[in-house]
Amino acid sequence: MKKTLLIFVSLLLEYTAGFAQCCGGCNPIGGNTNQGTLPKYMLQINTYEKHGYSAGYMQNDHASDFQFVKNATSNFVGLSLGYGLTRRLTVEAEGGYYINRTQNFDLPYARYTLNGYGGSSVTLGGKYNIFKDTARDIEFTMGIGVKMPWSKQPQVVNGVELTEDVQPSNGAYGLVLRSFLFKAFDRTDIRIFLMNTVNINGNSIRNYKEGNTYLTSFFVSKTFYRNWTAIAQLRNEIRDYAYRDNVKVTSSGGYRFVFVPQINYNIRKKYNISVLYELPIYQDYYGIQLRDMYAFSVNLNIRLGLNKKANEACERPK
Amino acid sequence: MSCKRIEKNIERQFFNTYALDKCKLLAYLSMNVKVRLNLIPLPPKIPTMKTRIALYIILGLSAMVYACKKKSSTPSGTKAFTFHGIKVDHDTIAKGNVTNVHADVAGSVTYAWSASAGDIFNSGSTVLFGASTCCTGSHTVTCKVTDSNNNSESKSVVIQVN
Repeated sequence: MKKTLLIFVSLLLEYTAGFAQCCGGCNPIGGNTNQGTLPKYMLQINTYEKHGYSAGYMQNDHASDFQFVKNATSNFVGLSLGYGLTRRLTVEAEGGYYINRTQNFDLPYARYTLNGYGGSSVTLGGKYNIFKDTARDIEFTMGIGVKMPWSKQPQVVNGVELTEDVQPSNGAYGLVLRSFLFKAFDRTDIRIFLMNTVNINGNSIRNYKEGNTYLTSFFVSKTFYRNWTAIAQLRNEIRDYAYRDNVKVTSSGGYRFVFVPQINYNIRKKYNISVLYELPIYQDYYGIQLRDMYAFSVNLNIRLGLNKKANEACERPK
Repeated sequence: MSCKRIEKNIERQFFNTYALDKCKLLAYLSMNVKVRLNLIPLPPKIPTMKTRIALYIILGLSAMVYACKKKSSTPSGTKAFTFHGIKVDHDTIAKGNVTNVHADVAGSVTYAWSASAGDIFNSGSTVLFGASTCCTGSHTVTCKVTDSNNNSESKSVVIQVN
């Protein structure tokens, strides 16, 4: 699988060689989240590093005194490639790799650490622009993708098979559905967009099914000084119960609201560097679960016009 | 009418099969004489950008299928160990607690541990099994031992997490 991804990525990257680079963002930059369609012949490379930290337990929406995992950290590197195949259709490939997915345990007689690492999943899909009104700056796009696990076999470290919580891949195929609604206000240079993502997960070979997730994100973005843009995101996440051997895992799933402030810096109208911080503002877990405290990401977005048409499509440089 | 436009029209008429020497044609038309078409076969089409992208995707997916092929291992000699069984300190534990799990094996082997749910700490012949809130219920802890000849044997024990 690793070999495959490398081949796939190198093929796509090879394709960019020798083409002129474009003017930069025609669509809004929203951190590491998936966006609308790209202009025809435009290639987008998006890469990010995300650090997450969890500690303490919660029962429903309040703290629990349960103790087992002291804290958990993760560092995830993501890469997504998008290409505007036609004016309305964008094809995409996304992949991710856990540098580490770690749980630290503070047990009565000793401290232990479980650490997983490796490829997560690869998603291949496309987005189709259903509606676009350039005069009123409105766009509506829908997308679909197939998620493939990096490995279907659970990871084994030092002869021990890791628990699902630190496995880099869930080992299951899945389906991703997306919608994207965008509106810009030229006078105030404010852009708003609404994104919905549904992740439908299949069963792993251990007959474990991660809960499906339903994400709704609302973004407001405004360029406040030269190449600097501030973005505020409010995201609602709903996660269904997980199932093990077709039996509901009662301490799994829940819902939460996350506030994500973000700063974006545009370089030469081609590159966007973003830093974002994810702060859960309300969390309600089913049963008792480890609490997500925060996450932050650094994101690099590159948009390359592979011919003049793509450049011309960039009507409104960011 | 420009050379380019004439060429395009003629091309369309001949279903993209032939092209004309455009300058010769323009000269004939300006003289208002009957044109004797000089047909030149077009060179083979260069794949378009769309076709190339599609080919790359097909190639990538094919490589993915190839990379997923499983490696197999077969024993190459006599079994050099005896696996007596697995012993546990406690066969029932509360969530958030742990218990020792020991594989009783005579011989030199490597150990591979797995559990249907829960966490396993340490490695080797004795490990620690524990479970968080995710994993109440009855769970199977399995130990697979393998010798240097690639002979292997698995045994399991059931631990109840309340």
